Amino acid sequence: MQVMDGCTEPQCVGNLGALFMSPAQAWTQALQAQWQQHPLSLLLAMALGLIAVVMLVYGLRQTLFSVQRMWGTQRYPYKGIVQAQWPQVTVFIAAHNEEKVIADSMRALLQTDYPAERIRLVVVNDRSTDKTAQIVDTHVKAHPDRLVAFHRSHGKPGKAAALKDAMRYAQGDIALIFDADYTPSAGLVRQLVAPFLDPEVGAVMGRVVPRNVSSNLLTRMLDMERAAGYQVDQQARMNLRGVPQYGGTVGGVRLSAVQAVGGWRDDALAEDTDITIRLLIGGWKTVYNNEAACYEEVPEEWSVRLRQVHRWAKGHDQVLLRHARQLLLSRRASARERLDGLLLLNIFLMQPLLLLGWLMAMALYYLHAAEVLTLFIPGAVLVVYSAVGGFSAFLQMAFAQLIDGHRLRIRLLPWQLLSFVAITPAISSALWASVSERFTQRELVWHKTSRYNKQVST
Amino acid sequence: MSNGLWTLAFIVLTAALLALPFFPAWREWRHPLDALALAIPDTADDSAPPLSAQVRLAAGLATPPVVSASARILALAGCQFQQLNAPTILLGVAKPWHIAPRHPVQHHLLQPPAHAERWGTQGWRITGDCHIPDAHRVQGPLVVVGRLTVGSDCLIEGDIKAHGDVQVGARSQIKGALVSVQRITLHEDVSLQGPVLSETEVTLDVGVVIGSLEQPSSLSAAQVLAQPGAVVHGSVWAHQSGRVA
Repeated sequence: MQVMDGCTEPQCVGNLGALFMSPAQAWTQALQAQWQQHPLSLLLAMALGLIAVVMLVYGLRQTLFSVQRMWGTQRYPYKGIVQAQWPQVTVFIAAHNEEKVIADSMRALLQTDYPAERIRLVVVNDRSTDKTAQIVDTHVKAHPDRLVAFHRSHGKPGKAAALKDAMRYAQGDIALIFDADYTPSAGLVRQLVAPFLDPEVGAVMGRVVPRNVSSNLLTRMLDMERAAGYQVDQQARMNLRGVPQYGGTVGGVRLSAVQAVGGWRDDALAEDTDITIRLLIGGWKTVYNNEAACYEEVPEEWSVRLRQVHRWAKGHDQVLLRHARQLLLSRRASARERLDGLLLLNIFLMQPLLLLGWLMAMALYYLHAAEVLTLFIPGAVLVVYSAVGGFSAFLQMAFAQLIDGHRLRIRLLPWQLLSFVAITPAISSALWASVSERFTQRELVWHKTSRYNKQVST
Repeated sequence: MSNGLWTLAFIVLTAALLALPFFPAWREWRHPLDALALAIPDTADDSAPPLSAQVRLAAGLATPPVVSASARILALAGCQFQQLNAPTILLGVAKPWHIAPRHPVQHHLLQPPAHAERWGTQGWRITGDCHIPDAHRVQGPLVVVGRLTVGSDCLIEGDIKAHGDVQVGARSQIKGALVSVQRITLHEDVSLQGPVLSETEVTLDVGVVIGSLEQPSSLSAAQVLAQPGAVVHGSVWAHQSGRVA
């Protein structure tokens, strides 16, 4: 055998072949070799790469929203509807053991500047065991022409079920819904009704602003989170003609639209997301009005917060499992709306995916899969980038504070890391719960969020 | 320096970098400087109180961003404006200008085209462009995912929305709102009871009437261009610029 420069002929030919191979060919060859030697590691690495890509997509999405909101064109075409022939509207106040807050809410709604002859207020007292019923009845006696009490003593528990039963009290085609701890300003009803003059609008959502911000660190962090969610995320989706989300309170729906897409579902844990997506599939628009703002109470205890986020995530995942396919195939929603809607529906999958990604990365380390990882250098770069891309949520919060003029509270941002760590297990377990309940057909359990008003208000 | 010291320095530096942002975070938590709830303005009355019963806006004079009157605003030809609020807003001339008398018209009820889909309980949704022939009547809300052309002397009973440009022919009446993502052109003597809303531009021809004294309404668009002789009862809001030709 002829020896050339220290290597045998076949070896040299192989090396020369490698030199003239395209990167893609070399990569494919290395991939085949790895598949023969470490199939498990290769599969794990590929899955990890896929997770990184998904994370990257969400990171970019949130960054796009932040940048658009900060520097892009703002869109709210209904601002100019100052005077109109206002339609008949029914305002539902959902109440379950709300003795501390229900009176303030009723008083605020009675002071609305909406034409008195075109508005009806219905308090949906769902099986309260405290003094809610007495307080409501006292107010109904004082305003029998405008206020109606619906005392619900039996039936399926939960806000969605209670509202479904209460819809028989509706007058007109527009239903606005407030939780009992909300105190709307006098012009809020008009602001929320104005977009319904557009016959394509099926739902309208206003902004929710925490009232008890200064209570503790949790409430301050939730204030930042809410600001990011409404001031940046919702408004950017409105600006970009995506899918602003109806939030179930400080908002309303067109009843004929809800009827057209199958009516209220009392088995939906997140009835707001459920309605938003079904309306979208049916071609109806949801509108976000950033100026229609209303105060609410946010949880002051971690246990309450975790339960709340668990419920949101579970409800969201439930809607994803029910409607994702229909949304994807919807002829009435635009391609942009379908994409935004799907990204919105999958949002609570990010935490479980992140956890899974971390576990996979550790598994790859213990499988000594360094060689496999070198094949996926771009994937590894994506992992790093998406870890940084995760900061896009923090960017949203910071931008929201800047837009609101609360520059100093940006200093609290690092604490959000702890919040992220705390809610990740709650959201991940929600996925497991919603999937298992989907298959076992178990009935969903509804948890009420605690109220923090110190005294009973009459 | 030994490897051990380098490692220690690296760990200390990294820890310091990670911990650094928590210093102001800790201070803001323990000694809050910015912990008040966001102030929500009461939007019960967001229009400026009327300055007087009648206001006259002339060309060449600077117009305040918001002009209100308790009875009448006369915006003369050539004047520019942003937001006008009054029971009667005369654009261009001192009297409403109808160039053609309204003849009684026999309206034919429009049958929805084959590709129309039901919209809500009584409306229609049409994918693509839609043309309503002259002297036809349309009932119920109508959503057009395309351009909409309404012929002359039509009667629309309900709200209309179009994703594309909207042209409303002379003497047509719309007893509801008119909304478009694109441009709206209202030809001579068109009358509308509900609000008129465009995300781009609205052009009002001679004799167009929006709203009534009994039921004021709104006209809102990024740009509003009015020919002399159009009237709006209620409010006009040109978010970028408004002008009377």
